[in-house]
Amino acid sequence: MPRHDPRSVVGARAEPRARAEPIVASLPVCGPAAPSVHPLVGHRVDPRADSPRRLGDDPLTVLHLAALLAALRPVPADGAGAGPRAYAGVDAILAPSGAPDPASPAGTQPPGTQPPGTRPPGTQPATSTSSDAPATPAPRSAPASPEDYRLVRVRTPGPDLSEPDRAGSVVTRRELDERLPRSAPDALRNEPGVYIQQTAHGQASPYVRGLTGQQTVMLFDGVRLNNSTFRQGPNQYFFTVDARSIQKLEVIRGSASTRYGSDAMGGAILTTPIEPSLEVGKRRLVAHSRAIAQTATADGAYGGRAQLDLSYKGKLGLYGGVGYRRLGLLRAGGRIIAPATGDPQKAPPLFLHGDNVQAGTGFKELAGDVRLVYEPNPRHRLTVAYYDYRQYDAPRTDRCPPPTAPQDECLTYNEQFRTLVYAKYAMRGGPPAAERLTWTVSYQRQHEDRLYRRGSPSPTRLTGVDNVHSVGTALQASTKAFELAPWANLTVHYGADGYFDRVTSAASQFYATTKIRQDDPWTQYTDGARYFTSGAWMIGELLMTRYLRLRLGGRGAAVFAKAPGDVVRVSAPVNRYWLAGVTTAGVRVTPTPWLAFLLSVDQGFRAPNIDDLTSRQLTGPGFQYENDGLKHEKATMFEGGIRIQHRWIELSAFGFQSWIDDYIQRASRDISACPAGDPNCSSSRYRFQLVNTPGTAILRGADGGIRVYLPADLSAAATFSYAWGESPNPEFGIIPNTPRRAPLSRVPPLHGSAEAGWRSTRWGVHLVGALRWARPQSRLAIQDLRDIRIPDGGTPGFVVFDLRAGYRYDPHVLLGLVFENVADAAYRHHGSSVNGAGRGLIFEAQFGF
Amino acid sequence: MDRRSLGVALFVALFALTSCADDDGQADTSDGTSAVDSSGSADSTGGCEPMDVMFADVDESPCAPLATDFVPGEDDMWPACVADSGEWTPVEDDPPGAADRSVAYDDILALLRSGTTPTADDFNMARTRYAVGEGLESRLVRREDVHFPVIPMADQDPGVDFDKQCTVADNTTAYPDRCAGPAKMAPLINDAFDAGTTGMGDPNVHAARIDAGIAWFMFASTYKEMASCVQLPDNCDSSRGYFQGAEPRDQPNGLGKQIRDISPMAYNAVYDGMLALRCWRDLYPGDMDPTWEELMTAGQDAFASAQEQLDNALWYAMARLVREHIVQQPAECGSAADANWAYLKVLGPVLAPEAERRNSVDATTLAATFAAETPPAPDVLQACVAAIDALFPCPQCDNCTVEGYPY
Repeated sequence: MPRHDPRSVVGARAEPRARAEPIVASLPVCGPAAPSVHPLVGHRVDPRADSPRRLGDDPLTVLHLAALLAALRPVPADGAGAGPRAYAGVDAILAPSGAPDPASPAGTQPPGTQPPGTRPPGTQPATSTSSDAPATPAPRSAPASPEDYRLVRVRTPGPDLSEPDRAGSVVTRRELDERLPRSAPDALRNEPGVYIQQTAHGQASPYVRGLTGQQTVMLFDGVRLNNSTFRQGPNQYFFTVDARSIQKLEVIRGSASTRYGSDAMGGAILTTPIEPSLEVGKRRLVAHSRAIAQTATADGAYGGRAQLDLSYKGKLGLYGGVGYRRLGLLRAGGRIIAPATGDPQKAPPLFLHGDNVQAGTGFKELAGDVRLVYEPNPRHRLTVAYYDYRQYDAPRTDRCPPPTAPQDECLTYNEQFRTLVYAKYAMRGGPPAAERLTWTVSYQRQHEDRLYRRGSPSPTRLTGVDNVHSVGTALQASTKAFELAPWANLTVHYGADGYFDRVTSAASQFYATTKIRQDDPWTQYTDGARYFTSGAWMIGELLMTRYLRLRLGGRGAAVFAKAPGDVVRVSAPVNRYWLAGVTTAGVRVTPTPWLAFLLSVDQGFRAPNIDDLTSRQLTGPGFQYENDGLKHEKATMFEGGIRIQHRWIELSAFGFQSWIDDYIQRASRDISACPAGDPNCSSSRYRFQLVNTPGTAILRGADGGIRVYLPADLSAAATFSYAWGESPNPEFGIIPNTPRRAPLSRVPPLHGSAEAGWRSTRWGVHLVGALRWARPQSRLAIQDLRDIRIPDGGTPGFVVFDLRAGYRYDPHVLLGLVFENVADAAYRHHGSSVNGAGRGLIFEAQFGF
Repeated sequence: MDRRSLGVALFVALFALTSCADDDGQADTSDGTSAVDSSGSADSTGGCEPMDVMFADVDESPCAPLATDFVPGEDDMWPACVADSGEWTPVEDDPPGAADRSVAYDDILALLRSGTTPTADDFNMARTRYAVGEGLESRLVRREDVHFPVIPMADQDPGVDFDKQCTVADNTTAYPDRCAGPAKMAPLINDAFDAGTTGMGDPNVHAARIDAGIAWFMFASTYKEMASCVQLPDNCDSSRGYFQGAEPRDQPNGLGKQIRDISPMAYNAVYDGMLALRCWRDLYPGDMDPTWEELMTAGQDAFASAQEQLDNALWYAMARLVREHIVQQPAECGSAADANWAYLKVLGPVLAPEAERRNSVDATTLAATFAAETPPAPDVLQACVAAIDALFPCPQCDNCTVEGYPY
């Protein structure tokens, strides 16, 4: 009989049987623990090591009992009649708050997603069954020694959302192990409100509620990944997060600048890395190794990763891994049909070998990470981490070749690197004003080395090298829950952050026949540009009875940009700053433990960055040049929704509308407006400049998902996403016959996913059928009409069917198989250059010791 | 100084600043000699004195528009249209990138053909301008000469549009005439730049070959872009951009200026030919995206007539350009003579396909003349000029036809 952990069911948030069980286990105090199986990476760990940081990664979570005891107040066994007094302590530790738990090692948020009283029926407040633990939680006034703790597992149903009062979703490690995504963005494909655009096989950009790139914010373990060179429209930078180092991905949909600062207009994507297990074993030093091998047939991919988890006395842990992957040319299901003509879409991409293999695909990547954690006791935790991602030889599909260029002409990213180093301190159980706190200090380097190889008659090679060095710090804290009245508790979350960028940019021409290299003055950015984004924020949460929670907060932000003038490049100096204030407010009504109604008003903003202010580059629709007079964008989003978290069903559905003032988008420009002397601009077929759109842009839509738990370990799930965007047309009055308002560029079509499957808790086997679908998108902005990535008339819809199967024998074996695109459908995500993978297999094997 | 002029001036200045050549401004050569001093080209006229050779005068007086020609503002067979003013009304408000390529041509000539022997640095700067992202080279390496037949369907790559078949390497090799850009123009220009930047050979010869190669590209592009204007209306604007920089009629640059300086009639005939196609585009607007078939017979005939008017004028203009250099040849000595002949050896054979269609005997004369490795004797040049005058007497050609669409 294979041994498996009931928690280890793939897609764990969908395990009804576990939900029906009461809160489970306990452990002896300070004694050696019987090893269990790590629910996430599949190796053996001491449950004690599964600290609250794991909460929500799985319905079963483990808490330090001391903290729990310190926080809990007596609660009736059935929870009936328990108001905030009864649950406040639990709320502080395992339940939700409207802002991230600063002390969570992930730096994002606390465990649990349920407000008090929304536990599914059949579950109980946290208790211990240990013989030497009190049957009832001790009053808060009975302090516990840091060493005097026990562990209990608490079932926390549903996704572990950082902001449970907002629309959002989570992808767990288990889901990643089941879906076997090709990249971090690929892992988000099935999430509500998210649409993945791919300009290249090695590049992908998540749209969140119709916005992407610089208009969404990405964080890695609480460290801001966005830097000042994130460009308008899709970019490749989320691809530089190694999917194999991720423990959890979370998407917060809609504006969220109060908490996450500039750029969080479309939403926030939070990445949580895998942590060391801090396992306590029979020996002081406990080591676990793991080998992962993966292959895929559609792109001839093969690669692997080796990882090591070391724990010393359960207090010092080191987790590290190194992986390599090589991907070949991507085979698609075929060409898509251009709706306007009914003809197959031609380049991009260029198809080789008949109609299936796409030129301008394939790449290599090398990734490594090391994470050192020191946790002397549950109250203090220090982390030092290093993440390095190196992508090599990744062609940009839409320019390999450009549509009318020789077929071997190609823009290749020779190097796309991201290096992140940071230190993080997390504290729990601090003074009332900062009961929980985290502080991070980070350094990030983004390196990009591009090579544009002219077609074979030419020896010309155009190169560009850009580096962004970012130094940042972020502090966040939460107060204890202050009891304002017997029926009202107030918790305040607050923090401050600042990130400084320095940009270097170089370009050259190289001639292969003579080996002569000429410096090119027209760099992508102004060399030596600097940027500083900062802010301070505060969010208060008022819990009023068990039925109502209010949220109110705001951020004050200051952003500075400076770039030297460049007489050679003919660019003006930039010396700008922007001050912004945004607010958040929300109401959560919980009439029954499993049902919540949510209303939010959240504001977002985005200050123009170095890309907006100084960059000149060839984009999909044409050449784009800088505008150093831009104002910052401001968004106000209204969101209403419902969330059900019942033992048999989980459902979330939200509607939203965003009003965006000073929306930044491209506007056509005449040759005479080109920067003086820059032939890259004047020789381009189309020229654009980013401008603030006069008036208000609107984005509205709906998104959500449902998961139904059926008997016999069967379940079914579906998601949907719809966004509609429109803004005043920046071309109106400039180009004849253009409408006064126009669709926003590349807003995704109505799309979604559906799946049904069997995930055996007993046998460790899963078998799932999944559909991905999208309706056609024919609402095109003017620049979309000129974008060669979008076929005439728009992007056709698609339905793609996948089969997934897997087997888990913890902690030693994990096998995953995806039969992707069973029908070999030809499909493309709107705005992409590359068609989706054709019929093929993805196989992954993990072996742990 | 307008903004563009300023841009050109800045371009030249900033490359002077950013050039990575040695301190003395000259690139090293493999044997350590400097570019300027390393002329290895034999002075084929060896210590010659300029000769005063008599060539027949050009008589353009008999030339007049054909009855089918579009003549701006005149009572011709064409309905009233936007081109009747004699000035170009852009199809799209956004000027074409082709205009900048015409400016680039002038920039390159300013560096390489200014009257002094260009240095390796001059070649480097010129090459940078030539090779810039969406610049001259980017289009030259994909240019088809649509005077030659379409590549047979059997050899076409089904995944590539019929008019982009020269982006396929196999087609470039198999059909070098049609794929003149990648097969002929690019190699000769690359070789000239390679030699010029490394100081090999006679810089003036390399400069002349580059000049002629780009002139050939401009000529082929003017015609090609106008042909593809059927499906891509903004290509009408590009055609004008390649020919004269999309400037007002009386302020051309690039190839148009060179031709106007030789023969205002030739320049105006080309411009009127372009206007004929602009008139056609006005009468058969492109914003409805009509296919060739949807133009019906009247639209197709009008297009063919306008295209023929432009084509004949272009041939005449190029013939005048070649003729001018032939006439100049005896007056040159030394490096200048070699350079002039190098120019002619590139641009002279460009006339061949049309010459062959018009008169094979005269075409043979031309071919034989331009086959010579060294400048021919004056009588040969005189015979060549006579053949050109016979082949291309006027910008109009009553019995000439052009390839129908699709081109």
